[in-house]
Amino acid sequence: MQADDASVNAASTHAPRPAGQEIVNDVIVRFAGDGGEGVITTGEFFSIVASRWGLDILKVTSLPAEIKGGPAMIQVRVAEGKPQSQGSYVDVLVCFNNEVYQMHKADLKPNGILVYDPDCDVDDTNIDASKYEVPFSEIAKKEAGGALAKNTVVMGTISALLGMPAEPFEELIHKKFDRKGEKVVNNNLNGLRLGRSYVEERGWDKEVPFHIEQRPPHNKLLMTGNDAIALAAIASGLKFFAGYPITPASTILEKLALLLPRFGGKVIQAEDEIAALGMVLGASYAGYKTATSTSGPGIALMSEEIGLATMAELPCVIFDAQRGGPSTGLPTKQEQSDLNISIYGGHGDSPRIVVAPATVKDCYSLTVEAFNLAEMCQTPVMYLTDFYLAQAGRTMDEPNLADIPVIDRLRPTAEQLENYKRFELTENGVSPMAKPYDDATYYIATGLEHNEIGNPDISPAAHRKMSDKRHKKLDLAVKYAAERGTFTREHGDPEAKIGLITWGSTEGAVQEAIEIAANYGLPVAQLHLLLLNPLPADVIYKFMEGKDRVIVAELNYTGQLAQRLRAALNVPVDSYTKCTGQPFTPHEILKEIMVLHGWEPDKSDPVLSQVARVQHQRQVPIPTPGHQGQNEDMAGAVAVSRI
Amino acid sequence: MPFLPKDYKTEAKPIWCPGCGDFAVLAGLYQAFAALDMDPTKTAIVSGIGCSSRLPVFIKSYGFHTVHGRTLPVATGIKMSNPDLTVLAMGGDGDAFAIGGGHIPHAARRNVNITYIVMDNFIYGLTKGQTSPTTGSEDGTGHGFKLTTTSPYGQYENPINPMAMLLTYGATFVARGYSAKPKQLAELYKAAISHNGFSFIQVLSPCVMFNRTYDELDAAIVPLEGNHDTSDFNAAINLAYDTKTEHLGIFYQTQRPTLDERMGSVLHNSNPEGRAQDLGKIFSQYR
Repeated sequence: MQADDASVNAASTHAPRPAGQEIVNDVIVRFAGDGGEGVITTGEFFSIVASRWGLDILKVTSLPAEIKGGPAMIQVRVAEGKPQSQGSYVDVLVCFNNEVYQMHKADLKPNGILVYDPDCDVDDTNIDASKYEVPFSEIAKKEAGGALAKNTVVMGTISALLGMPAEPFEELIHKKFDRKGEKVVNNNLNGLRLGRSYVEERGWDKEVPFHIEQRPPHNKLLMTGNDAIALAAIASGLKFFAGYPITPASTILEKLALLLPRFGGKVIQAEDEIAALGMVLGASYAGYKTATSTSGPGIALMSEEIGLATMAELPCVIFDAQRGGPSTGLPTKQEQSDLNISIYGGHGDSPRIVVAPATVKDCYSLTVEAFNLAEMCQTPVMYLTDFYLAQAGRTMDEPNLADIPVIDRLRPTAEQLENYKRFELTENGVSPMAKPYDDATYYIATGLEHNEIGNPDISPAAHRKMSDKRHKKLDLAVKYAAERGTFTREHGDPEAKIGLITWGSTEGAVQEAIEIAANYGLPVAQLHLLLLNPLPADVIYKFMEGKDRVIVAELNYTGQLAQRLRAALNVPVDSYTKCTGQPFTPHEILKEIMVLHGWEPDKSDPVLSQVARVQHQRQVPIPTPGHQGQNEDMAGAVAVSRI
Repeated sequence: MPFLPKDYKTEAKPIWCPGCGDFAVLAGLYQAFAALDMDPTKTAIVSGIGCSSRLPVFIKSYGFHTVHGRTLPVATGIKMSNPDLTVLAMGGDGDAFAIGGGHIPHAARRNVNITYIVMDNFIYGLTKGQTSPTTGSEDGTGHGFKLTTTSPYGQYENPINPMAMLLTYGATFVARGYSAKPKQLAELYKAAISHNGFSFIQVLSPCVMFNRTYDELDAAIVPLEGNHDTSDFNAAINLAYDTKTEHLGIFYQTQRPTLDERMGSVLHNSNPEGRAQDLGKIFSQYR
């Protein structure tokens, strides 16, 4: 197809922007193409520019399992104020080829914008979108020195469509490509220019309702969860780290391999996860702050040594970037199904602390707290991040190192060293831990049951007393969490009769749904837990008070937190789960909230008419349930179990 | 006051059976520790699971009795986080070559500066007499052939050759001792602990309950001759493959930078004091 024909064809498929319909700094743009086509770079550049323009960003990437080839995607949500989730639908869908167009078209919002290469078969009457056909490949090949410049053509197109100038993108092209030589830089600059002029010549930038406008700089960082974890670990005083590569945790190991030596620490890539945790326990025994990172399969391998850490009372932090399971499962997909193994994994009664961050900011602050809890309680801390957080980039304020205390383990006094008992029975269960070389004593740490000195002792009294000691220490974690006040969060209407409990990265989608529901006049309260074992029981009981229904929303098949709450606290919670490898969208949660308020799908009822009325009155631009295009089988692939 | 061998004895009584080779292994360690004037507060002994892995309980020093097979990773973690500590790892043939076998090549290639002592009795003792990876096979390969509770019809699997294994993995000190030769054992320990790099000693240490091999080993042992060149890798390999004879002594010793020396050269440029300032610089890259 010739470029000119394309413009005629495209122009006939969309209407000019109605007056007064401009949407400023609130847009979700998704770039989809093949791995190696520069899709991710395009999205990254777009994110960096928007962040430098003083806007808040939440970007998520989806990579193929292959190194090159296979579908890749990056989605960038731009907003003023915090974007809480990646959103339910896409406002602007940019497709590099037909394969990805077919994959992503269902997520396009009604009245959204489709920008596509003519390779895409968009002859699809079901799609209610303004369509802009741009021959990305052809322009790149013919006029910008080759297919490699395709992504800068796309960058030019999108920046022009959304009303952004060329300069900040040119600056980034120079920064990224200058070292590759003048020719590469010029090709990319050319691509950018051609992409822009293609839009400007046709006046499309005057039609598109979405605009991005510059704001005063906010000086925020645009960081992924895994990077935030790595930097926070350094800030916590990490001195030794061992890990084994596994998706989606590898970037923690990589980042620390690069940075930790600069701060006087060491990193070893172990021969397997068992060796990784073994090394970590050695370093912990030697008196140093230490951690490892892995994903579900690695946690399974580490289970025996997690028990050893509990038994020998060795502080350490185990980062688990969860992915879909069981077995190899879905290495590049989202799931929250390692809660059970984190709490219970391994044999025997093996108490440990389990925490989970919800945001990139949490990935920083909660990591410092995880080291604090490990050191304070001399016990392993399981840290449940997930695929979504691992790779999601988000704007956040630079952490103030003074905001969070850094706690170190209890060491013996000179007096205690006189008659040193490593596992002395104390009131709170914590006993001073000697540091080899520095503390003039010695003791045996053992995985066998032992006495206060540390020598093996399998007598009834020893097992009973030491079991008490190991479990009692966890009370300190609950107490510390209550003092800090940062291990639970509440959103929504505290008086609401309906409550939602969340953990991990699902907080944002639920919070966003609750805010939309509030606009509909449907009140909901949300309790978000960052400490999952031991449970902050008082906070949970208080939240349950006066509620008619409380639902635990989580991304796994069986409702692992719901089961835990029922078993540990005997609270009547229901479970709302999704097990598709995808995060919750606010829209899905919104539907569930409507159901909880009495809406029956396919029936005309008061809830739906109330929603419709509010929408009409307040012009709330939100998706209505069951809209066109969305694959209801997937969005609704939610197992709901009710007790 | 220099330490005497008896100063390293703890109050805990060894759990081993009378006549067990491990008593001599322990006695030799007391001798070597005293000879090297080892400071118990600056020494860490790591072990796995098995009869021999109980050893750290009986010797005064920091000790970590870990889980089955994970001795070397734990010892690596201790040594790498504090290279000033003297670190010994020990265990039996099952702990080392069966469940823990996957860690040996990596400790050897890293050249972690620790000493690994494997008490080889050709059998599982603590669990009462099952086949081990070094139990001799019925075709006459190796020593200590025996039909065990888990090989009642035949010992069909060939035993591992620990010496050849460690040599080819790149261990920088490889030696063999025998519990019935305690004087030589103490000398080997001293040499191994003094060696700068990953040192390995296979100690033939018979089990008196489930695989009594004293007579067979007494007949098979030959001390290395004075003219053996410990820097000759090929000669060491030949000794290792002479499986009818149990040569005793240092097979091979070489020098190669240790892992902590190599990492130390990276850490040399680090700035542990400037934490906040340096982190600030790293944060600014995210703007």
